[in-house]
Formats: sequence, C-alpha cells, structure tokens
Amino acid sequence: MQGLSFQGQLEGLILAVLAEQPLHGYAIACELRDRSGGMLDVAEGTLYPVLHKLEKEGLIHSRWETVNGRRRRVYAPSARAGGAVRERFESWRRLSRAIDSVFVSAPRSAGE
Amino acid sequence: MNSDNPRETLLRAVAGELRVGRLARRRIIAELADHIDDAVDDLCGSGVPREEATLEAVRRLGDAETIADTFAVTHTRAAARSLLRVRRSLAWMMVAAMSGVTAVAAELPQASGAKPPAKVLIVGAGPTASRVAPTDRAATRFRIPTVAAAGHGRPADRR
Repeated sequence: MQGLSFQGQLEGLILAVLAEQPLHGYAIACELRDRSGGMLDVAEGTLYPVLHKLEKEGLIHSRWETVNGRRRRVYAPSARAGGAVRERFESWRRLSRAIDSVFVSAPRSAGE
Repeated sequence: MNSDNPRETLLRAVAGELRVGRLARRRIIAELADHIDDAVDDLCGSGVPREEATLEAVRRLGDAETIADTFAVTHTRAAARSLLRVRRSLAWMMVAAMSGVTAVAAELPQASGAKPPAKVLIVGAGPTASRVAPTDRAATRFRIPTVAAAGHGRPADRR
C-alpha cells in the first residue's frame, strides 16, 4: 500500500495519465492539472524523479523524440503498467475509504 | 550562460544539487530545460510576455533543492530495488548452475556404461535443497533418477 505519501499517489496518477497515450514531462504536468480541475498543481520538477523511478522499475519506458524541431523525452507505459495502475487505484480506494470512515465517525460539531 | 536568466540560474542550481551520475545529470538537466521551454512557449501562446513567461515556467518547476532531494530519494530506492533484483538473479543463476552440475554428474555413470545411482544426493536440507532438485523436465532430459525427498523437501508450513 502506498500510504499517505503524495509521492506514492503521484506514481499511480502518472501511470494513469500515460495509459492513454505516450507523453513528455510537460504534457504530463498539464494533464494532471487539467484532469484534476487545477487541484493537482504539483511542483513540476518533482515529476521527473518519479518518471525516472517508474522507468527503473520497468513500468514505463522513454526515448528522445524530435517534435517540431524540439527534442523531447517521451514516456510510454510498459506491458506491466496496466496492472500497476489497477493496484495503485485499489490501494488509493482503500486509503480513501479508511479516511472517510474516520471523518464520518467524528461528531457533527467537530468542524464548526 | 547568462546568470541573470532565471532558466539558466535554476538549471545550474539543480545541476549543483543533484547527487547522481554524470549521464543521469545530463539527462535530467536536458529534460528540465525542455520542460521550461515548453511552458514558456505555451504561456507566450496565450499572450504572456516572454520574460514573464520564463519566470512563471521556472516558478512552476519548483526550487532546485526540492527537485534534487526528490531525485535523491527516488534514485536511492530504485537503486536498492535494482540491487535486490540483481542479487536474486545471481542466486537463481547459482541454483540453476548447481542443478546443471548435478544433472551432468548424474549422467556420467551412464555415459561410461556404469550403473547409475538409485538416487541423486542433494547436499543440504530445507527449502534450498528442494530448489536444487531437478525438475521433471530436467530429469527427463538428463535421465536423472527421482530425488530422495525424505527430509529435504520444502516444509509444509513455509512458502
């Protein structure tokens, strides 16, 4: 289980974004921001350590591509990525349910 | 390099903070530079002046220390996992090599016309011994008699 660390959740989110199409780092940052309605506005430089880690673990692979005269490192999911996305999503749902149950059990006056 | 350019200042700072090898450093800096350039183009496309766009792109990337620290954590964990994988592979290669030696040894008496032993002796006991035992395929291929299992098999309560 990835636990409460945002870094752990970020791995799953990146894999989920890449599941649709290969993307370079900047495009991944934009997708995360857009799909979350602006909520996930992470320090974009911290995406790259996560991308490198996922690549070392064999969940994604990358290569330099030249698009409109500019060289970009493009990341794509490996065959194992689908299973990793499902696993991380399940992990997140368990964590989310656990947190929900704590909030729900709090007295209604707690937030007032 | 222009020291007043926020792009160059950040990239130089990240390069200075990174604790990774030369090739990894070069790749990281190239990716971060591309990222800033993409963001600047994007912002300029929506009407932001280039100078302002560069400042915003650099701000979005985050500070050099945070970026380098995150790389330090992820590279260390990934390196530890790689090392573990290599150690596991080596262990299995040794097991495979030992199985091969055992299989060849079992074949020798037949090749020389001598009567093969009734059992192949596996040195050691416990779970490792059961891994050294030849598989059915290996036993068929090398015509190895069945391994004596008594006392050498994997205990029922261990996986």
